[in-house]
Amino acid sequence: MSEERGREEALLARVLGAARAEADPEVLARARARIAEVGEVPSPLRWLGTPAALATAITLFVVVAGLSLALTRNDTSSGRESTSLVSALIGDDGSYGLPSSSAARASDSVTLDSGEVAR
Amino acid sequence: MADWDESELIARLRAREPQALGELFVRLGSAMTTLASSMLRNRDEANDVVEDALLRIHQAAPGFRGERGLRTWTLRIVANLCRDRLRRRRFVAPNSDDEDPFERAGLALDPIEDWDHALDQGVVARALEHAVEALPTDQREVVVMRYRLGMSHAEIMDSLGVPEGTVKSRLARAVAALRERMGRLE
Repeated sequence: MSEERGREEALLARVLGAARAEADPEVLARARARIAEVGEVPSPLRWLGTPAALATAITLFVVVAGLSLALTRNDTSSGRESTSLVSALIGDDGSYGLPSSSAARASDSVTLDSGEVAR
Repeated sequence: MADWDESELIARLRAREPQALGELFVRLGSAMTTLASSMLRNRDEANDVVEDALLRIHQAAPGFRGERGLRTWTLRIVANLCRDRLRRRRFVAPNSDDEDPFERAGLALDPIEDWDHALDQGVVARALEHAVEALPTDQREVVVMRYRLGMSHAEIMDSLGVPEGTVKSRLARAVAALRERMGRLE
């Protein structure tokens, strides 16, 4: 069995080993031209094609996204403060510190009902 | 194995010496092209793969420590590129048995020494080549490396990045398939 296997292996090696492909010198020339092209690219541009550039871009994206989120939160909270400041200045009910007409009406009606002068 | 100073060539490749890639091509270009042609069955595509492999070798050489040997490392790069190409192929026209498989792949057939002249060497070689073409990629890969390029099990293991047991089982399945297709391999 192993003798037969050995004969098979020898035959395969002889027949398959008889076929080969010659290397084409044009292939080397083309590869060299591409290497030269890569060499001509300015180093900062070449760096953009490296995995380090991708990592840096992702890091920058995360940092910028974090900063903008933080700034947005700050804007929102300072917005609330200014709203409450304005509210404090003009009055929560929008009366600008003046007596409201309903209050005036109420005081009027009290005078009328009691028949007395409030002051 | 190599009658040339492999470690010196590795050192020159690592230093990206301009002539080193050319020397590697002189030493291993035929094995690279034979592997790519045998796998892809198309000479133009095989040349493209060898070109890409040379570029990768040039780029990766500074990090190559030479543990696996230059031939194994180089053929590993070629095999990976061939596998990528075969994976990307969306449609593969079935090969016709009427076509010459060597011509299609851009392979040349040398005369075999001590061949039994009662058998037509060309007919046997073509029939076997058709059978090799019909093998699945993983089996064709080990058959080409073992019998066409004469690589050892350990070299194939390193080139493919699979355990030796896997190499042996793929070879056994491939030989069984060839035997079935050829009748008897004798």
